[in-house]
Amino acid sequence: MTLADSSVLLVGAGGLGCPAGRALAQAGVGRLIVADDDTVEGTNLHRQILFTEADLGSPKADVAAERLVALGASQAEARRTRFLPETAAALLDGVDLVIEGSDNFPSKFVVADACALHGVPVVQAGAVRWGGWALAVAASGRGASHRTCLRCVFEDVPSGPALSCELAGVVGPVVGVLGALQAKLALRLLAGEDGGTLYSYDGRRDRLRATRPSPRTDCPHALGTIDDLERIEYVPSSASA
Amino acid sequence: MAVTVRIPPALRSLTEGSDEVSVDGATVRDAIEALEAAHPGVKERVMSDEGKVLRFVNLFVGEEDIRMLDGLDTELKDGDDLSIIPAIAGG
Repeated sequence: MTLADSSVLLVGAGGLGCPAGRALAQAGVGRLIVADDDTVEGTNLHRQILFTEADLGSPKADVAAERLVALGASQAEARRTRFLPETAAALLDGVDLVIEGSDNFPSKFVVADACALHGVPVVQAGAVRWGGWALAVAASGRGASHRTCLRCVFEDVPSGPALSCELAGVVGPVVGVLGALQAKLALRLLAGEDGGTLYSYDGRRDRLRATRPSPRTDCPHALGTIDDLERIEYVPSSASA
Repeated sequence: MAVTVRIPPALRSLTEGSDEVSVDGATVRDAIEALEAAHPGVKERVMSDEGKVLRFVNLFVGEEDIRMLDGLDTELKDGDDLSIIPAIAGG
């Protein structure tokens, strides 16, 4: 499969999805699908680099798709929807890879679970203030063939003091770096390389660390205990293992 | 054992802005306790009341996930790096 034949779904046209989408459009990914149900707000503009003041109030998915075509994607489609258990299968139909750039934990785990169930590679990331992480997850199976996924690394929707962008804010260039990193990792996965490396970025100290967490043997995707997204409660859970 | 704990940006308000803190500890658990003694409030961001690592926090000794070693009982050597990587969601 060539890049021009590839379809990539961007979950969220935010601070991560905008730079990642831009990089993939200019790299030659043939089809980009943008899923976001939000509209452009003034507070987005410092980090969501596909938008300008003229876009305020417009649907992010529509504007982003239009800009991605202008940047070189031969096809970009807007989906004014969130990635939810009930919308996951339709959004993943015909998709070769997902870039997950949502701003909340429940969405990150829905995407992780859906991609695991449908065998779609995904590059996930999160950022707050000056730091963030990114994880490339190759398509994998159950049991011994399971590869490291979000549930192997962070287990479940956090409760308590885990930080979100909404609560703490984020520095624009930090999500720019992580979004570009997501695009780079996506290109490697599309080329058939493996994932599994967890990147941790510190924008204050200019440090990017790579670690390779192993797949958890008790990950629900290794065990095969998640088979219906609509039966999973994506709410903060017990904080301890 | 003298080890360096790498503090993520999200926890630096508890370490007066320091991104690295040197502590003594024979195990990861000892190092976290020593960190708590020097910078109160860090432990509850890493461990539960039951003394387990929080589900949404990862601890690495060097490049190794402690879950794949001996968890909080993982032994440390002089000069080891202990990294705290919490889940964060913004985007």
